[in-house]
Amino acid sequence: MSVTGSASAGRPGSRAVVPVSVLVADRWWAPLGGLALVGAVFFTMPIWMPALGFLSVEDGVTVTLYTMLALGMVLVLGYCGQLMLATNALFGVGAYGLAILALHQGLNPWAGMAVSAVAAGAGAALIGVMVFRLTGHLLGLVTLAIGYIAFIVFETSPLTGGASGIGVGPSLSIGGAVFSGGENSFFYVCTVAALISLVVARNLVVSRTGRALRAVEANEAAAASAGVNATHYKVVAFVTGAIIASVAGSLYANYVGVVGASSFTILVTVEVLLMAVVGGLRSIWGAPFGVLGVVVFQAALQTYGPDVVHINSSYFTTIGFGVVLILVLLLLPGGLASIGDGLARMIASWSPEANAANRRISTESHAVALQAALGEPSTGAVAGVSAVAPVAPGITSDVEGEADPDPPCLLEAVGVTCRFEGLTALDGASLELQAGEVVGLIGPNGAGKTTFFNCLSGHVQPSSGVVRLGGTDVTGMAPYRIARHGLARTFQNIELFPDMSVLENVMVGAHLSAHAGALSAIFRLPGHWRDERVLAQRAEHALERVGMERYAARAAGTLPYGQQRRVEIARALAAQPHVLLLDEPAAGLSASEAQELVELVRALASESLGIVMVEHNMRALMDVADRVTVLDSGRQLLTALPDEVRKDETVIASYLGTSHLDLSRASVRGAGARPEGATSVPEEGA
Amino acid sequence: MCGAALVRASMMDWMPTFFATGIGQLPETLASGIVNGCIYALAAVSLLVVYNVTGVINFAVGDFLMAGAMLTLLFAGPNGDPHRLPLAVAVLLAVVIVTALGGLLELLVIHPRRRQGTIFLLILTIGISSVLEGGALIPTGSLTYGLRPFTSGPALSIVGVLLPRQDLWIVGSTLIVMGLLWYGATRTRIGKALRACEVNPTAARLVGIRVDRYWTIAFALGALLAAFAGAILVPVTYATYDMGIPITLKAFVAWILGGAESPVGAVAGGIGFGVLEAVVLGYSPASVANYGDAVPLLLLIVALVIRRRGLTRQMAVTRV
Amino acid sequence: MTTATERPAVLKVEDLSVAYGAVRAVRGVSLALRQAECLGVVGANGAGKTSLLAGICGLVRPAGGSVSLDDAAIGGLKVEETVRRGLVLVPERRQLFASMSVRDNLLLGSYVLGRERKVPQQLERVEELFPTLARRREQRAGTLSGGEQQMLAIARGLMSTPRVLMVDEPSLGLAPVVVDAVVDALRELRRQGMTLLIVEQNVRLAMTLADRLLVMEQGVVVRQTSADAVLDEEALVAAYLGGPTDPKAERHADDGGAGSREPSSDRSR
Repeated sequence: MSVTGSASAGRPGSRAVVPVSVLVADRWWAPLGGLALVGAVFFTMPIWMPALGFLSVEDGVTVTLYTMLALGMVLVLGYCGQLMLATNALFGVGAYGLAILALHQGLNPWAGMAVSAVAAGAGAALIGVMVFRLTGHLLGLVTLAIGYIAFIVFETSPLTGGASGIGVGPSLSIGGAVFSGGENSFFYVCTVAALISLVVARNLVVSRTGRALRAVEANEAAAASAGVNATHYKVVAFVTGAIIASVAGSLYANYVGVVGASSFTILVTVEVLLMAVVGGLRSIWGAPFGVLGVVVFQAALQTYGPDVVHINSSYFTTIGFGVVLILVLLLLPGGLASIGDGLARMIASWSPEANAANRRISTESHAVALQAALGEPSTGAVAGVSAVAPVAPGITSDVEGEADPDPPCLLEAVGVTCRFEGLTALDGASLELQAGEVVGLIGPNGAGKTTFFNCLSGHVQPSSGVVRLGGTDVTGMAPYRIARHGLARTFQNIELFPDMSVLENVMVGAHLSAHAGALSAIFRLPGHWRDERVLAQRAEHALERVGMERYAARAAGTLPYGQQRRVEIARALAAQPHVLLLDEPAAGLSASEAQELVELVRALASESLGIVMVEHNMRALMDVADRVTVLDSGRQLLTALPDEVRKDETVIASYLGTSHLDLSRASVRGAGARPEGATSVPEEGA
Repeated sequence: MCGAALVRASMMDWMPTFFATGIGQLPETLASGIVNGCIYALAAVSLLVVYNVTGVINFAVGDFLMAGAMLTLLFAGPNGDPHRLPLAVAVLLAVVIVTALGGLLELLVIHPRRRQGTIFLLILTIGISSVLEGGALIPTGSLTYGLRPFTSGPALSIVGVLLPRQDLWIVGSTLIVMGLLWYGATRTRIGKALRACEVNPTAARLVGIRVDRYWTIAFALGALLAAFAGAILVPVTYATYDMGIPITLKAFVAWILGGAESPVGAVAGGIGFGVLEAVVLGYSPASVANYGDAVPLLLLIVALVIRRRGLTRQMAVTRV
Repeated sequence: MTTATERPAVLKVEDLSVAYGAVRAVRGVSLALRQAECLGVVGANGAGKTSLLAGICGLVRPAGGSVSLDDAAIGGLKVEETVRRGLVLVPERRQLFASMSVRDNLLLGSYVLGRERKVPQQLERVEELFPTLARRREQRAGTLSGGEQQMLAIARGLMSTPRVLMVDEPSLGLAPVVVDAVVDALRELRRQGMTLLIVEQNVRLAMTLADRLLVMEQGVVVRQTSADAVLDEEALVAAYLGGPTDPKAERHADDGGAGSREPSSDRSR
């Protein structure tokens, strides 16, 4: 089935939508351009480096190996947002592993390299599982400590030869060709390894795994609600980086012949961090140029520095690193890659086609777009979804099977209570939701509505109470696991992944519809291509449902607010949930946008989705809700039909307050509404 | 590879004092642990002040300490230099200069990007660390320097425990500095405002405190504490340009061990860690003790895995 | 009371908009607050009341419009600066320095006065107004009861001798009896001639305090009346809980005609 066909079929005269197949424009040849550029610069290093006068081929080897290290940093810090500062340890494992295995086991260097890489990968996985629960800067310091410990071990242990180091044994060879340190042929081995690493990193990043990584980096809570297990993907990125770093270490060992601890100080990690920052943390292709820039700068400083100030040349590098790191962060936070992006945009803007396309998008009136959105797609989408459902039988049938046997209710919460440090945010709230039903959740400020949502979706652990989803007890499960049971949600302050395209955002939502892992991404196995197609189709249909398919290519962060709301709903829908939680979906929408939202919610409910909705826009909520549950100060006041709620005395009292003049009377009646427990709300955000 | 930068002096040049005197009996071991712990405590409080006010982990804390040590050496002169300044003046001058440097670096480097995430700011402080190290490397080279004790004379014997005079200086002056800090935080207008920025930055703005300025003040105060620690440490150890990072890591351990919340906790964590380190290394077989810093640093990882709630709690609540 | 309209405006807000990213929480609100007047702003949650205060005092940079205090433009200034000009916000949920003593909280309230002589005098006056706080001087603010915390927040706001005091949701999370005490304190302030802007979700409470009321809904002022006017209960319920309401009121809301160019209400007298 052709994606583009299905998208425009049945809608004559519909918009010139960019086909999804083009948006996901990844082909096996896509990385070749970047690869050719980097290859051209790298392979010619033996020619142009000596010509500059202050560089040699040895610096070329440094560039290639450090490129590999920097790629690991970009993967983990840039794409995953995790500050892992143990690069020197991983580099050392590769180097010492090769040397030790050759010395003690007599292993051939290729085998030594492989075994070391496996060891580094396993070590990284172990460390990752241990430390990835820590938040950003703590992680940085802990991993730095690991790096420092590794250095001390390298320097002290008899196994690594202590301070005097350890010899490496035979050189790498293929057939009769021997690649040993001092020769140019070895440089080419390193260059090939660096280019392969580039492709590996690039393939990992442009894939289902890569999207999950970027989603975790942008917003872990939102990623989790799409079913992404953050720790898993962080570990995948770290292990990939570790294996690449270890291979670089093994090559380095072969290059120098004798491995000494002084090559694995923490400074290596700091240098790599610097190179990754200079290249641009968010770009795979920036890394080689960042490394190149730093190495050239350093060599120039050492060669010409002493002419200016008569000091030992090697003393310049440390301060040079610091100054460059700070200047790049202050003046060019995107690194060299942002210059590349700028150039690419400039070139793109010269091409007439792109110009036309840009103009088309920018001149579209939002109002018109939204009209179109609500007109056909919400009806057309129903057909579209059922058409695509068989494409991924695994998940759909799976979840449907669970819900099948006469479901009592889709979602059931009983007596959910939630306390934070003495404050009871939620006190015994309950909820029942049937398929095709919309339940509104309202209440004054601080009533506990969002806390209730967070308890349902797993973002907050309830202190007591039970949450059942399609009959399964999901109380206290991690959000990504609850998502697997068919619950999707949106957030009060739209939590999109702003740097990703609209389509990619929604593809993350469909994450669970596919299975392709890191290996099939890296090697571009058939499963990868198949899953990408499935995810793109799912995403496109979800976008059609909310009328946003024409914006698929836009960066989500650049959309106007109302449309971001829609994209967020599409992301939730892409998971094909049974239960949808909408947290203030109409906030910040104009009256007409809110009306469109109401219609969308109705349409979704008519497809037998169960929807719970927190909303302050009462007109919108009362319009769409079948039943309304009122919370006040964490307690449930009542659940009733919208009209009953509107007339209910206690509800009115809880909103408007009781008259100050008849407090004595009110305090008896209002006791339920404003319990004593609410008197001491502790400080927030201290 | 990558030039001579990778060939560096070992970072283990800076060793706990008891290594020089050999592994003695328990009281001496404990005493030297407390002495080292005072240094860790000062550095941990420095980390804490900066973190509580700004949310930045100051990776350069050890390097500010190193700068304090180096400048004290520069002004007081290595042993036997006739042109030296009086010791008190040298220490004061060193501390003042490093304090100003801390504030200046905050203004130049951190301030323009203070709205960025914590990781970004941490990387910036790594840059500051490199600049300070490099700045020390250029005039001093990779040589090591020592300074005579503040007062000369044989070790004093207190209830049967032999204590070098400089150890008493370290413990005594740490106590005084902590006392001054407490006084400043609870009795002065600037101190209260600084605490207000920690406790509730929004409320601080609402009463008219220019929180941004207190970022600078916090960095300056952090640098002051670290520099002072460096100045009192330099007579019992050798100062090298790269002594900072191990101290940063240990200060960090102390900070976490102490609960990462209050200065009292940081001091307790610092002294606790110093004692722990002394006992563990003092009573391990040589084959383990040879690994020096690696042993206590392993404790960091253990401490964090056990205590990870300490720091993450507030974030967990505000998130989502 | 009748002279209220003749006194010059102390705080003037014109066409103020507040946005968080792409969300417009306040859309073109105007109001004028006269010397010694008490203006109440009511509305359901999400109506933009708190954002309005945040925009006026500079806690959030307004997206548009102007704010002036005693005819000096203060729009766009940060809150640290507007406090110095005499515009003080007592924030929602009080925002005390929980781990510090009551006295330190109060002294920090006078931070902008520096070491002026006024500080001890003002401390005395404030403790006179709130005798409970005087009794609990050394207690940590976080250990006070909810009502005492609210009083401390108001007292802290008064410490800098402001021209205008803005109080956000003084009754939020308080038991009725405690609300009583807070309301009494605010009434006393009003009697002493303090110029007040009070945001309150509890309409009936706001009615007993304020001279005039603004009703906000979805970021705009949908109506304004004098407080003693008999409020149309049904319309109020509609503003809070939605539902079948007279479409007239709504349309009025959209044309922004509820600004304060003509602040006196046409209904009461």
